[in-house]
Amino acid sequence: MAPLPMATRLWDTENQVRKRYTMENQILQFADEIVGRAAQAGAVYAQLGQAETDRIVDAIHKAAFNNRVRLARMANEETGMGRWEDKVIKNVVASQLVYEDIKDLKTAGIVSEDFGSGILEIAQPVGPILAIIPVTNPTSTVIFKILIALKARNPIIVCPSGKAKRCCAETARICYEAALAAGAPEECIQWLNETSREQTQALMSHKGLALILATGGTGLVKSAYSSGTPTLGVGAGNVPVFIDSSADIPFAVSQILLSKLFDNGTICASEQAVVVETAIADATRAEFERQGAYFLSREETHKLEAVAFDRAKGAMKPDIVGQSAALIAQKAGIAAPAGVRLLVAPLAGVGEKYPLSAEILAPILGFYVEPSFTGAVNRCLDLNFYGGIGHTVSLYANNEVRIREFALLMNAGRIVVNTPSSQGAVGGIFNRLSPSFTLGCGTGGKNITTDNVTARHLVNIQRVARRRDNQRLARFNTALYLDESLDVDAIEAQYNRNY
Amino acid sequence: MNIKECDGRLVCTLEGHFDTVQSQKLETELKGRLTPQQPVAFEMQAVTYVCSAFLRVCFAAAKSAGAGRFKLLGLTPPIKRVFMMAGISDWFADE
Repeated sequence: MAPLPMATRLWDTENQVRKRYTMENQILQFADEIVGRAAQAGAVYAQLGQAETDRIVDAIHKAAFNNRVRLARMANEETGMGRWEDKVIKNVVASQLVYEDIKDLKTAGIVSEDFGSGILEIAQPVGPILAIIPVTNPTSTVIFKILIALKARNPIIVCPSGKAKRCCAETARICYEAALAAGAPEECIQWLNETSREQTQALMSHKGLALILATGGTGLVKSAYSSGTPTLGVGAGNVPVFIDSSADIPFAVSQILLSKLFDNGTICASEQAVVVETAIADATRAEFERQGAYFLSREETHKLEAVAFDRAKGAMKPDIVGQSAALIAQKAGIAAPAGVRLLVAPLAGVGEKYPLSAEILAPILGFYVEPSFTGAVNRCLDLNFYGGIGHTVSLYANNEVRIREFALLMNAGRIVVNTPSSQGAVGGIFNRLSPSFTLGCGTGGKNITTDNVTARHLVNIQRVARRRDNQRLARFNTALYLDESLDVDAIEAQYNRNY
Repeated sequence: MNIKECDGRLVCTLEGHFDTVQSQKLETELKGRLTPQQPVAFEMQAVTYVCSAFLRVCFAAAKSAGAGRFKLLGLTPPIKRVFMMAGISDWFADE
């Protein structure tokens, strides 16, 4: 049954209806104003050339980099998540590494010309962008999205998580002042100091908005996709890491810890479960324990499930996100040893019956032992398809055949090899993937790309196509197409006939 | 810039690069000249760049002139594109 029109809802008095309509009008007017200002800024910005644009981007990256520590501390204090020292590194990636990756990219005017094909490409800005910012990586994501948007000459509206609005506003302000001083148009960066779901939805569906860069919870990303505005979103992650018998086990374990403990596991590309073959299971476990991991008993695993996972919602509990292993163990009533760095839960399966097999953005790992390589790959597939399709998978191996076999079977935009997956997927530190805080997950994750999203995704490319006749058709009698007796091979023979 | 009255309409003939400084000069020049409800036109043929401050001057002039009485004349395609991208087409003269 279709919902009743608002004015006839039986539980609303006339005054309530009137008040709500007034509020709705205010929200729509607010969205009109914000997007209108962005459109005007974008129009002015589109007049600037590559050199002027690059000067602006350079100024923003310097300002953001120079404020990396203060902003990291603000983010940590405001959200209560992660470690400020790691958030500094995130800010460095978002400012310096992203800048180095995009600085030479042509994003304004004629960007390529190929005389052979006769194709000339022109980059145009896409228009006003709405940037949805997650609580887990607030300041770094603001810096990143501002840099890539302005590199492509687009105005941006920063819409932060309600739990990170102060640090996001401060980050946006710093970037904006630097941009203005370098010649950027007024209002090219706007930010919301207060956010509400209604306001965000009004902005997302505003006809003047060109694109949404949606990084955040599944619900928010889905809402962005439903808005009717083109969206570059991200899917959820559930990253398995396979340690092959050919791997260097101490190295693999140290790298997994480096990744999983980074900002207390808040990056969605962090490992969620380790999968090993029986032959190396004991050695792997011993190495994890040597490096500060604590393996839970079955009873302790159940205790952890209760504090880490909300069965009703089918998702991790927000209050353990980005917390330390020691604090989570304490919450769960688990007597972990002093100095515990990581909680590891041996699991027998994947799915609803095993809550810790889902994505948990905290220093918690599942641990699976499989009898063979085939079994291990199957287990990784189970995990990959249990909430993490298209995102990231990781493996440690020194066997090229196995690396390729594994990679061909997984559904992941990033398959990182012998690399901490958090930092590896984000790119720029351990590999040459484009540094990004928006990791596309392909159609499996309901995204349009598997790329690490960056400035090149934020331009419209116009192609000027000069005439270059298809030589194969030039000497061909096209009337032959009308002859039904000629099949594809016969036509091909005609194309190739030597006159 | 040249500002004069022509058949009851205030016509501003503008030239060059309208960055913040130039736009502020225009704003100052116009301040004492705008009369409520008087039609205003900006002759834009020789304008090569407009900044956000220039758009604000346009909005102020349009507000003073009243609905339908502010026009942009002689827009070159690059500058016309700026107004179109900004979602402003009400001010284009029927030329």
